[in-house]
Amino acid sequence: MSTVWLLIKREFIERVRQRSFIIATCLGVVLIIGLALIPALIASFAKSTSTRIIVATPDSATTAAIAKSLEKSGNIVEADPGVRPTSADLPAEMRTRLTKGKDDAALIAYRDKQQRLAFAYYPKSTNALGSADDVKASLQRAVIIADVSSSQRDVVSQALNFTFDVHSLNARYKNEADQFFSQAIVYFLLIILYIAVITYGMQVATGVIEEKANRIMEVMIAAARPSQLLAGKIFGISAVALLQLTINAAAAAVASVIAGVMYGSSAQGQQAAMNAVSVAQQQNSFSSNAMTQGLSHVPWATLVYLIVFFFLGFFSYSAIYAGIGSLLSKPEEVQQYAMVFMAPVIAAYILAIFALNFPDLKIVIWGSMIPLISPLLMFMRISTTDVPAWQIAVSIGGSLLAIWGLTILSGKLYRVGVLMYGKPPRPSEIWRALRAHT
Amino acid sequence: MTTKTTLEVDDVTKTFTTVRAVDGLSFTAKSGTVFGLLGPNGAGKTTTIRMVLDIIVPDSGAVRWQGKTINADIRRTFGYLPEERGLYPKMKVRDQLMFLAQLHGLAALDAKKTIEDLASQLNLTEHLEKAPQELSKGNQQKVQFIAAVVHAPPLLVLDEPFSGFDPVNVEVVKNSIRQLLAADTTVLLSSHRMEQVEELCEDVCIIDRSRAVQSGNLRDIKRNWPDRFVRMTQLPNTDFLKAFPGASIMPSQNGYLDVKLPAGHSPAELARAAIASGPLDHFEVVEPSLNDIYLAAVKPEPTA
Repeated sequence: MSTVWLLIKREFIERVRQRSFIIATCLGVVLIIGLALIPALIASFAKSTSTRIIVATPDSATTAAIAKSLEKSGNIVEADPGVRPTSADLPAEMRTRLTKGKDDAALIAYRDKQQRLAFAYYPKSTNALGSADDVKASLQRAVIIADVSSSQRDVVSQALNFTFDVHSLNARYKNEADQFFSQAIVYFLLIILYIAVITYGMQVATGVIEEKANRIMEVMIAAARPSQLLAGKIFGISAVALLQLTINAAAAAVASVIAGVMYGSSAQGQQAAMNAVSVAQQQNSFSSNAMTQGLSHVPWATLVYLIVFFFLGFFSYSAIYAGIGSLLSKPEEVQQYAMVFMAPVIAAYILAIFALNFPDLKIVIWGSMIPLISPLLMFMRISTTDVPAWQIAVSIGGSLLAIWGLTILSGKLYRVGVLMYGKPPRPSEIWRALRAHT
Repeated sequence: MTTKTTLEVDDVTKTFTTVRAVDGLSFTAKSGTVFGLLGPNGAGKTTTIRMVLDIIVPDSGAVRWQGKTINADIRRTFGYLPEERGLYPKMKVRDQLMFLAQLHGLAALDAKKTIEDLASQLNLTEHLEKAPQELSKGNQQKVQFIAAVVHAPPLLVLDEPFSGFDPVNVEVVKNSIRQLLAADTTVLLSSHRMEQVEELCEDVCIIDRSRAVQSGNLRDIKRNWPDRFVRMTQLPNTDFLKAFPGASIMPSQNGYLDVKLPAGHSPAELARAAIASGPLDHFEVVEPSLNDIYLAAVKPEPTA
C-alpha cells in the first residue's frame, strides 16, 4: 500500500471514529432538520395566534362585509357585541370584554361628521398591534361596499384592482420574490462554504501541531517524506469533510422531503396561515423556505460549483494552514494565530456577502479571479449572475495553480518546521531556514 | 553470523544558519553489532541521527547504507526510536503498530503476526486493544520500541532507549536487542547510560562540540588508552604517589584506592612504591571504564 494512501486512511478512520466527529455530525443533522421544519412551525404558530377581533359597526350589513374581509385575511372575527358605535370611542362594555376575554383587538366602525365610514382599532396583543396595517388593507373592500354607490362600485373597484403583471426579462429572477429566494440560498450556501473552509482548514493546522506536540512526528518524518505527510493530512481531512458534508446534504434532502409532505398535507391551513402573518413574518418564513424547500430547487450546477469551490478554497487554505501549523509547537498557539489563519477567508466572505447585490462590480469581477478569495467570490457570482466561461476558467485555473505553489511552499515549511520546537520562529528565521533547505 | 560494514558516515558536515552542528564526522557501523554514539547534550548526536535517517541532508559528505547513498526507499526500511517519544494518544495500540509497520513497507498479514509475537515477548498482549493514553509510561515505551522494530529493520537507531524503563524492563529490551543482533541487525545507539553502552557496544564514537573526539572499537580504545588505572588496597599513607607526577586518586566507593596513572609511568614501579609504604594485599591494573574515557574526551563547558 502506498505511503500517502496509508496516511490518508489513518487520518480518515481515526477522525471519523472520534466521539467529537460523531457528535458534531449528529448536531449538524439535527440543526438542518430543525431549520427545515421551522417554516412549518412558524405556520402552525401563526395559525394559533390568528388575531381575534371583536367588531362593532353602525349596522349589520357593514358588520357582515367587514367580517367577511377580515376573515378572508385569516383573522377570527366576533361580530356584533350588541353595540352600535357613533364615535371612535371604545364603548365601556367592549373595553371590559377586551380586558377580560381572550380577544386580541377591538375594531370600531362609525359614521364621521361627513357620514363617511371611519374606523378605530384597539389592539391589545403585540400580534394585533403588528397587524394594524393588514387590518386597514382588508377593510378597503368593506368600505367600497358600504360607502360607494353601486353604480360607481365597478369604477372604484377597477381603480383599485387593475391588472399589473411583472414579466421579468432578467434571465435569473422572474420577480422580486424569486430574486430574494435565490439570494437567500446563495447567502446560505456562502455561509456553509465559509464555515466549512474555516473548520476543516483549522483541523489541518491543529492536526499538524498535535502530531508535533505529541512527538509522533519524530517517527513519521523518519518513515515518510514531508510532502507525503502533508498530502496525507490534507486529503485525509478532506475525505472527512466530504463525508460530513454528504451526511449533511442527505439530511437536508430528507428534511426537504419531510417539509414538502408537511406543506402538502396542510396546504389549505398553510395558505390561511400565510395570509395571516405579517409581511415581515412572511419574509422570514420565505428565507427559511429557501433553506429547505429551496434546496431541492437549487440548480444542480450550483451544487456542483459549491463542491468544486469548497475544495478549491479548502485546499488553498489548508496548504497555508499546514505550513503555518508546522511552525507552531503547541495547540494553544493556534488561538494566538487564529487571526492570521482566518483573515483572508473572512475578507473574502465579507466581500462576497457585500457583492451579493452587486455581482457585476469591477472589484468583484477581478476578486473572483484572485486565488484565495476567488472560491467564495466566484461561487457567489456564478449563483447570482451570468459569468463568462473564461472567467470561471481563470478562477479555477488560478486556484489550482495557487494550490500547487502553496503546497510546494508548505511542504518546505513543513520540512523545516516539524522538528522545530519552542517559540514560533520569526519570519527572518523561517526565510533563512527555507533557503538553507532548498 | 558475519559482521560486515553496513553504515558509513563519511565526513559529513551540517550547519544550521550560523551554528555548525556536525563538523567532518566519520564513522562506520557493522551488521550484528551495536555502535554507540556518545556525547554531551547539544554535541550533534541528534543531528547525526537525523542525517542517517535522511530527515536532514548534510551540507557536505555522505551517509551510505551498504555502499549506497541513503534515499527515501532505503530510509523507509530503517527503524527509529526517537528520544522524544510519541504515539497517537487515542489510536488503539494494535492499529497504531499496524499503521507504522505498513508505513515502513511491511505487508498487513506479516505485520499482524509480528505485532502479536513482539507484544507477547514484551508482555504487552493485553494492552493491544487499548489506547496509549490508557497505558503506563513504561508500557508506552514498550509500544514505541515495538513500533521501531516491528518491520525487522536492517538498521535500528535507538536514541536513549532505556530511559523511563525499570531495571526488569531494561533487561527485556536488552534481550530484544540481542535477538535483533543475532539476526544481523545494525544498531546505532545513542545514550548517556555508560554502563549500558559499555555492555552492548562493540564500537563507539564520542562527539563533543560537533566533532568526533574518540572513535573506534571500544576494546582497542581501552587497550590503547594512555592512562593506566590501578586499583589497590586502601593505604593509610598515600604520599608515595608524589613520586609519580600527574598521578591522581580517583574518587571511589568500593573500598579500594583507585589511581589514575598517566602515560610514562610504569604500574610495576607504582606497585613497588606502594608495597614500600604499607601492607598491600590487592593490586590490579584495570582498563579504563567508558565513563573515564568519556570524561577525558569531553571537555567541560567553558564557564562564561
